[in-house]
Amino acid sequence: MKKLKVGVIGTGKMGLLHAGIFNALEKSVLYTISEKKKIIAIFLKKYLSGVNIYQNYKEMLEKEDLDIVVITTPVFLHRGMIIDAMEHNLNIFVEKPLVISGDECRMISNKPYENKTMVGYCRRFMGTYNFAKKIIENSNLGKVNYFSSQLFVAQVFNRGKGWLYNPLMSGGGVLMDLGSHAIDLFHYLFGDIETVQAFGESIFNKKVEDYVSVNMKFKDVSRGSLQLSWSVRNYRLPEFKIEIHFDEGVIIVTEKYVNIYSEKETDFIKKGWSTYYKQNLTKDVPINLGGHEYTLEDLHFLNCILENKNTICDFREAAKTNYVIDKIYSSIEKERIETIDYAV
Amino acid sequence: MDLILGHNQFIGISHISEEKSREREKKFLNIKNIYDTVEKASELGYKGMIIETHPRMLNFLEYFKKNKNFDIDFYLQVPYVQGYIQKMNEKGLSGLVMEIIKRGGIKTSSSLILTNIINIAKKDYSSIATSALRLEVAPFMDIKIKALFLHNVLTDLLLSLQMQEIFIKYIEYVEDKLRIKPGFITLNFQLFKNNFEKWGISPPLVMTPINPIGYDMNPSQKAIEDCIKKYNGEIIAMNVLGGGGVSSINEACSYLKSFNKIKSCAVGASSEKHLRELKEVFL
Repeated sequence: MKKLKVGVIGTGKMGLLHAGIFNALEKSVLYTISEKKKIIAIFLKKYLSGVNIYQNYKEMLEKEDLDIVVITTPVFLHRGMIIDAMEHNLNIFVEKPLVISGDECRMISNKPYENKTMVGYCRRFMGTYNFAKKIIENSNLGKVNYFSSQLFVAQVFNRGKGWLYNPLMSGGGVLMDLGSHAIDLFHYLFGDIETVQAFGESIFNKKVEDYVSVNMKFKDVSRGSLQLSWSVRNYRLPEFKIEIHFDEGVIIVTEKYVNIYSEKETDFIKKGWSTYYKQNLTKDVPINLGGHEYTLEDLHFLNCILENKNTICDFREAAKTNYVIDKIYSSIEKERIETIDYAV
Repeated sequence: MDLILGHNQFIGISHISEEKSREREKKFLNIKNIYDTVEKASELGYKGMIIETHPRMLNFLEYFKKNKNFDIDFYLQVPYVQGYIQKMNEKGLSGLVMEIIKRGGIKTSSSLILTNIINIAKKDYSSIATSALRLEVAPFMDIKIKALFLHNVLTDLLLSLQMQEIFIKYIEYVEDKLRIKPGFITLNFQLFKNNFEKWGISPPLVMTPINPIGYDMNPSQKAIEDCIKKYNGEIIAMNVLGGGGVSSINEACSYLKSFNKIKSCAVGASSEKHLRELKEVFL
């Protein structure tokens, strides 16, 4: 079988991760890398045999005959790279968030595009959240009435250095970085959001927010809330906990477990409390680099290309998160309830 | 079966939940609680413990050196990946490199700073890497290190990218210069075994998940069972309780013993009761 040829732009943590996964999967091969930093590019040239290394991604796109480009650079560079990749008719995978703002999304989404696109919102591929989704969709516990959630990590306790903490390069603070995962998962689990009301606070950083609190009204769920911060102690890894209240039960879901309380016995849920761990909800993967979800997401992308199907998080779907984030920032700034406009 | 005490519980890691992580975090914030747990493990017949350069484990090491009244072998895991990622998040890649250089200056000699700067200028990556490795290992050189394991994040990334030369250099440096047995932790044992065979490198010590539910036995439980049977090197089992997914210790033990060649396994325990439970089944 002919392997799909992958080019990766940017070799930070996520770039290396996707480069490794695509290289190890049966259906794809790492063909080329573009890394702007000379010292890293020289290192890769020396130790990565059979992979062409560039320092200029435009040159890479021009010279190489690729099937897929994977963009894992700072967010402010995404838009230009996506537009260039579209001109070369490539299948495009972008690490989250898609771009820096809703306006940038419109520039991309307005273009008709036939090849496959995907944004790396990896929680869509975690066993626990998919188990929760199944319960919501099958209405095993009735309809969802309300949820509360928190996404915390102990990461920032001094003013951060680098692009992540510069709003011109990152688009914002914890809301853009971690919070985009939460907003995307809300779309995946609960559907479209109608209105948001939020406040945010910068404590450690001067230019970007460290704490955000959002209330949301959904089209299909009455209400939901999110507490978000990267400056909360004793959270070694990011933990996204959602407590979902249904007509006839409650689910508490995190990356690691699903706790269920049910008022009745259903097909696969016991009456009373039961717990399911990710260890029992995770599928086998051909390779695990830093988490099953990354492999599952890359496999999904490959399969969608080969079977000509849309991905579950294409640019149009991922753009929704940017639109909501814009309105959350606007709500913080103007201290008012904002209505979401998903119209492209 | 020899038991090796894992160290995740001491640095607040739980595969089950973050609540559990925080409970452990509280308990083992007091270094004496780590020392007491390791001492109890040693008394019960545990042969070794895994350790890394996490700041808390370095504090434990200092405490151990000062108060030592029991014997245990150490299996050192490098590099301290979580710490590096955190530094990268805070200060970027160049900030991380400077941090490593600075640390070299504080912990060893000022000439090492200069050497590192020259290595960067000369793009002598091999020397930069071995110097970083030497710094990681430095605090442990006066205790008994049974093996030096490369962290699975790095092992698996290098495997996936087929960076054969780095594996060869790592093995040579650890064996010849540090005079320690090199080892690798991997969540992708099939890929590991196949690559090492392809590269003609004799099978080294490896630590990999082996449990009756097949959790993290990638690409599949059956494939890994076959690899274990055919592997000519030494294997230490880890994740033997499937990260909490296996409820019966007896089942986990029987599964390991069904492979006659596995002589030791790493287990996590944070109380005397748990240490004893594991010992009664495994030893």
